[in-house]
Amino acid sequence: MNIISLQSYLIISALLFSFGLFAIITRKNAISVLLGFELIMNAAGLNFAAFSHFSDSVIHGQVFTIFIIALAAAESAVILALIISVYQKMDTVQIDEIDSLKG
Amino acid sequence: METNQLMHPWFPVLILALPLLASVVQLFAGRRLPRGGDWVSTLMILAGFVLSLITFADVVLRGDPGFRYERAFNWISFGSVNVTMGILVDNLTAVMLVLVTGISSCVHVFSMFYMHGDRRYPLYFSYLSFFCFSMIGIVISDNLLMTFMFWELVGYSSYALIGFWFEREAAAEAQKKAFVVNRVGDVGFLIGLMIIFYVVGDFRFGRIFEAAANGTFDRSIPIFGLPLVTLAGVGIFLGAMGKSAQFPFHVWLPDAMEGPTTASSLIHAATMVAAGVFLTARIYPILTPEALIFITYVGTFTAFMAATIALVQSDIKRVLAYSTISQLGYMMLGLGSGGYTAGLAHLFTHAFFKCLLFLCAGSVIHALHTQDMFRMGGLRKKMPVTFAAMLMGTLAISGVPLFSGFFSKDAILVQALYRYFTEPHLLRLLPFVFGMGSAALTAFYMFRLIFLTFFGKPRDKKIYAHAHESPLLATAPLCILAVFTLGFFWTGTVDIPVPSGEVKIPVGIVKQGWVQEMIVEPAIAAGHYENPSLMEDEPAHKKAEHLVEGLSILSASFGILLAWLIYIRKAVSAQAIRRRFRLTVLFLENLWYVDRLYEIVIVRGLHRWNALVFQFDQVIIDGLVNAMGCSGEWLSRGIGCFDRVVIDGAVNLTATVSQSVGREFSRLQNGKIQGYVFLGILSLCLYILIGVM
Repeated sequence: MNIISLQSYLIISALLFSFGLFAIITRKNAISVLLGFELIMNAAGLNFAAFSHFSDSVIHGQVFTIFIIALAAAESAVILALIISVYQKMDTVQIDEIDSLKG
Repeated sequence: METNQLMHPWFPVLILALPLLASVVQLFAGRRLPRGGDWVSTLMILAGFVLSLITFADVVLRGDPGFRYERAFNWISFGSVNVTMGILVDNLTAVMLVLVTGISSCVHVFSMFYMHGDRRYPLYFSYLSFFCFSMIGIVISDNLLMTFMFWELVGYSSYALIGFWFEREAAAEAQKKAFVVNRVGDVGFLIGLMIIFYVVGDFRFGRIFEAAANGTFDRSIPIFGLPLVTLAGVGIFLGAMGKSAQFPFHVWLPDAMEGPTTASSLIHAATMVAAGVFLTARIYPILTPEALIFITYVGTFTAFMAATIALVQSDIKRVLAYSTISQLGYMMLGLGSGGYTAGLAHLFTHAFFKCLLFLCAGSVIHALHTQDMFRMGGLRKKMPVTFAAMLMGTLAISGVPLFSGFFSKDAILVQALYRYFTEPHLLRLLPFVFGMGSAALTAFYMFRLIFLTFFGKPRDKKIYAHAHESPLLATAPLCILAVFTLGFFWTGTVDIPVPSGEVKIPVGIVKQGWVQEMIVEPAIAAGHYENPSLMEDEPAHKKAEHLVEGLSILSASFGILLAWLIYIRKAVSAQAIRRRFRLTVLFLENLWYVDRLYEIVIVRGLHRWNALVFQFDQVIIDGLVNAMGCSGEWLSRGIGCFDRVVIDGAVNLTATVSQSVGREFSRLQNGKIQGYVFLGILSLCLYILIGVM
């Protein structure tokens, strides 16, 4: 039953988080950054599910994961909309070119 | 009639106020009035004269020598001291009032003629009235402070009149000289005033004399071994010396001839120079024997010195000026010898004949436009009235019997000789000897003036041709004044001088007249300063009288004869005498080198001293100031440096640091979201790392 240990889950989750973070920091394309976010979300969801599975019988964690997936979907939609409107305004989705908030 | 009460108590005040009123009116409205308003001043002074005559009749004719009328009001009160202003009318005041207003009236009338057409005609009359006002103030004052105030006003008035033609350099110089020399004397007056106020605490003459009589002065500490009362007396007399042109303050008077002749006449007769003698007489009760000796010798020296200088003057006004100084010396000599009455009598008679002489000189100058006697001559026929008047004045001043000068000058000489008899000491004889000598000199130089001016042949034909007698306006005052040169106005008796013996006419020429009876020494201090020489000694006095009568007639005739020999008969050439006594003449022509001495000692000394003080100022004071300034500057510079480097540096450093730090950090704010995120993560990691460690 417990062939796959909690550590394995956590390692996968940590990898996912790291990749996501790496994508966020390094990718220039806004879409890629968005993808990085999704990875981080999923890492978090995976953590929830894993901890929930290994702790007790209550499935609070899994419920949280469902919520996270739903939230991520909604969030991607909003961010994509934002990216489109930024593109319309600035003709680019390259994140390092969008620096009008510069001090 | 009540004793010590005036019939018209307001008259003295009115007499004082009228000239002031005239002066003010003339000053502001003179130009707009017809005739330049000369009638305002003249009428006012004439009104004053009438009031003075009434007061005179009221006071003197009641025959009380000790009459005193005093009224005063509080002027300033501080602490327990009351300074009062008031009037004092006694016999002396009454006579002086008549004298001042009477002579001023004559001068006013004569001035209408003499000053006619002058550019500042109204102003001249304003000054003239103000002069009278000041002098009347001195005469009626009942305290020393008020006297001093009017004294200074007299000084100012003389300043204004001497320099009336101030466009002329000499006149401006003369007025300055008169003012400054008088100030020097006034310092003495002020010191005397302060001593008296310190001791007595009151300025009123009555109080001062009381204090002198009851010995208040004797209880105070003497200075330099001299009792304070002597110092006070001598101090006030110094002031009198300034005004009355006594040696060494006489130098201003001859220079004052630069003023209009009428003004000189007023100064020399009734107002300025009389003030000094009057003041000396006023403070007579506080004059101690020592002070009197001082006064005697000053007077004697002045009388003799001025008489000798007058011998060599060629300017008609200057001869008269030196004769005035000489006569003033006589008065002081008389007062100093204890001859209160004699000195004042000479003041009265001299006022009239000297005013007359000056006005006559004015008449001559007006006719000839020159003051040089050596360009005149033979005017006797062209100006008969002036000649007659001047001759009378000259006879009076020379001491010819029957004329006023004989009577008063003899009184002084009698007193001087009497002093010698009562105190047979050689020093006591000097005043008499020099007085008698000066009398001969006076007769000589006055007749020299007359002979040069009116007799002989005209020396300058052109001037002579233009000469003419002055109009009635000028000659009327001359005639009036001339009448008063007659002796009987002053003695009340006419005595014909003849040697006793065959003709049974009283020999006593110096008769007891009203002046002797009414003008007597104030009794208040008479008993205090016991002076044996002043005690009555009838035989000695008689002896002195007889001697003086003879000697003075002799000396006067000697002087006149000598003048006649030299200038009319030409028996002796004036040039020859000049050559013979070259050094003496040089000495006299340089006015005894007094002015030269002043020039060298005082003026140059002062310049030298000024230069020294200037140097001191330049080097020490300015050096100190500059050193202070420099050190301050350097100190400030140091502080400024510190400020700039340290304080400003700190401030600037703070600013620069924050600025550069800001600049550096602002680079982080580059708008690159990924950079922010990276930094955020990095800090989080660091945070965790630190937390773990």
